Amino acid sequence: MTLWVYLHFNSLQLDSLFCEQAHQPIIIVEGKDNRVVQACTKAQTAGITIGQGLGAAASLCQNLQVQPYNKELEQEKLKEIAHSLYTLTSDICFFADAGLLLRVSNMLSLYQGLHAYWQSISTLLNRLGFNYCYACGYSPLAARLLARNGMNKITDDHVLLLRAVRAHALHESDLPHNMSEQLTRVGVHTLDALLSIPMVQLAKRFDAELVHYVGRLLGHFKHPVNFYQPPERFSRELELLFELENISWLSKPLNKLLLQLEDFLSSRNKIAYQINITLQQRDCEALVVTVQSKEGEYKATKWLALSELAMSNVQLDAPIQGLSLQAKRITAYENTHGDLFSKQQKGGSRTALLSILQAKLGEHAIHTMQVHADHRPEKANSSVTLGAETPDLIRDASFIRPTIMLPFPEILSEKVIIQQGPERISTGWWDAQPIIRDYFIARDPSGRWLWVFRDPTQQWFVHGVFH
Amino acid sequence: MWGIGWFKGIDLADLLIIIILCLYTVFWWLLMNDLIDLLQRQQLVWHGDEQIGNIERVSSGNDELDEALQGGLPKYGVVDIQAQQGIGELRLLLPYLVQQRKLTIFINPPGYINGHGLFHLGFETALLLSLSVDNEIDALWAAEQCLKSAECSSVLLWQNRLAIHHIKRLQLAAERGQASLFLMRSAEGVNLSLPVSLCLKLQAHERGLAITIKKQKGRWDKTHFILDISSYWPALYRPTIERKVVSLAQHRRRLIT
Repeated sequence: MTLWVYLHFNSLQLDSLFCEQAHQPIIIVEGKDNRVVQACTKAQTAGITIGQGLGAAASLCQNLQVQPYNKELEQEKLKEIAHSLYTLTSDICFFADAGLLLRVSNMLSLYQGLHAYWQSISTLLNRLGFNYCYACGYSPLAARLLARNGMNKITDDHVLLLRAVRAHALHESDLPHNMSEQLTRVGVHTLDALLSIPMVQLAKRFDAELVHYVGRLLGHFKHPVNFYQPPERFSRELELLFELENISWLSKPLNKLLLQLEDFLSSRNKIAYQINITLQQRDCEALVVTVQSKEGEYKATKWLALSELAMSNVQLDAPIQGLSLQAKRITAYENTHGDLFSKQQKGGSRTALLSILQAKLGEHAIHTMQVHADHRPEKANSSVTLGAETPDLIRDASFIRPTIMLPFPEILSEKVIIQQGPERISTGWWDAQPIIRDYFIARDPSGRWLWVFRDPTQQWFVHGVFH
Repeated sequence: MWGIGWFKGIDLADLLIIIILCLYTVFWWLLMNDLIDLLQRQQLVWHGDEQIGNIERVSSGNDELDEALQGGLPKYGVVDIQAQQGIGELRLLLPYLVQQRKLTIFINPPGYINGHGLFHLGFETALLLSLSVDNEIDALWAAEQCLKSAECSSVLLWQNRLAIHHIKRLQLAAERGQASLFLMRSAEGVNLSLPVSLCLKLQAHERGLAITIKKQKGRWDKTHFILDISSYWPALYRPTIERKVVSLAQHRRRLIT
């Protein structure tokens, strides 16, 4: 029979809040009936129990912090956990009420034993920092039943597991309420009593649903499950318990997300070229900070350094309540450095320099020069953000061109002395941007060398300066 | 014999005084020696004849300028160039910049760098990068990052306001990355002497550029000379033609006198 492990996360939303420095007790309350569904240890020591009403809880503890229960958030978190676990175990399945089911049997030959398997799983779970209960079982339902009741034991002993299942009362199981009521009325209070009734008898006296349940609990019937397939993208969210007004305090929570990114990328041997950090601001639109790395990076430390630079330019409109991280442009990591002593690494640090500059100053601040084969000064140059190539043109040292051009020609407003010229540029009839200009080199009274031109209407302009 | 007599002439008290005086002199001599050593070690005292003579220099690409600078530009460090913009101050550096095989970065140039012109002068345009930075602090930051990355050979920064601690920091970054920083400053309003390796003041002159070496590390002498445009920018050189054409009125006036 197949062995399963069930993980039950009993305080998923509570654990996913960023509350390292929390001093107040926190509870999560279901919106519909105002019942406490999750409570932190501080709240529990104050006497608050799960299932209590909000009023009772508030009367027990005066500085209680209350958060509404958010089912979508829990689902999202559960997906993230499944995503992390996927690196260790192949078959993962979601269950209602924050549960994950792992199929163990087919992983045992890889890990050489249940103990080693569980050790690697539990190491990962502890690193993620969520509270959870766990149990084994020879059917999904049995594992779920034991885990939800806090068995917290990993074993493949068939007899022991069956005994543990039998020890539970009917209301602790997943049986619908009306059915367990029906069974209680005929004197069946525990699973032990239920399982002692032969199947034939059950089928005769109760409806098919119960038979089906018992069959699946014992593993006689097949329990259909849908296994999880992880997407090849990275997106994580982190809700902050406290609002942050100073952007430099974001480093710590951001680092937490970046470490997850590092895990994600390094386990797939991939690198990301861009990350988007979305900052959720109170009552304002979310702010997206784009951080790029020219050479591609997976390390959290490098990303953190770049992110800090990028965020130093950001102006916040309102305090930050949460942040999320998406990785864009993920590609396979190719080891381009030939050997230890080759000069390839130099190119790496050049792109690293560009990444740093771009992160701090923004993409628009960096210009490289692309030269085109065109006589029109406006068309001969273009500024591309990055990746200019030395053109395949013939160099002609007799071209006299200014070193620095003005963005647009300016009207010549002072008296100048023509030194050289004219050089007529009359071209561009083919693309509807023709120019006819006579260019001169002139010197103004203060000694500046100017590149001036005269257009057909006899107007004079300055177009560049020979710096 | 008189030696003993002389010796006999002084009594024990005199001898004691002489010994004390000797000891005192020796003590002071030792103490002063230690003190000077200490002060020298803390760089509070230095000798005038101690020259930082062996600064590595590279050719600026212009023989006349090299001669005036006694070897050329410093191999790395901060060079302050004070000049009115547009008199050919950048052109003076181009022969030096074109030799570089690493990145050349222009920070906040007054306009956009004409890559087309530089290409025809022999530059690899892929190695040229221009940064436009909004504020001065970020511009200094960018200059420092570029200098210490060891990926750039030269950084040109157009910025007028600089403090001494900025220069010290940039100098350290330049030494670390073995790069040169050229500060392109306008000549007006610059009176603070900055701790740079070389400071040149350029002025427009009818024959070319009037250059004053205001400061050079390891040298005392201030030099002033005129660099002819034919030596650094032959394309713009136009031999002065004697004015032979005179107006008729002038000619008549000349005849009368």
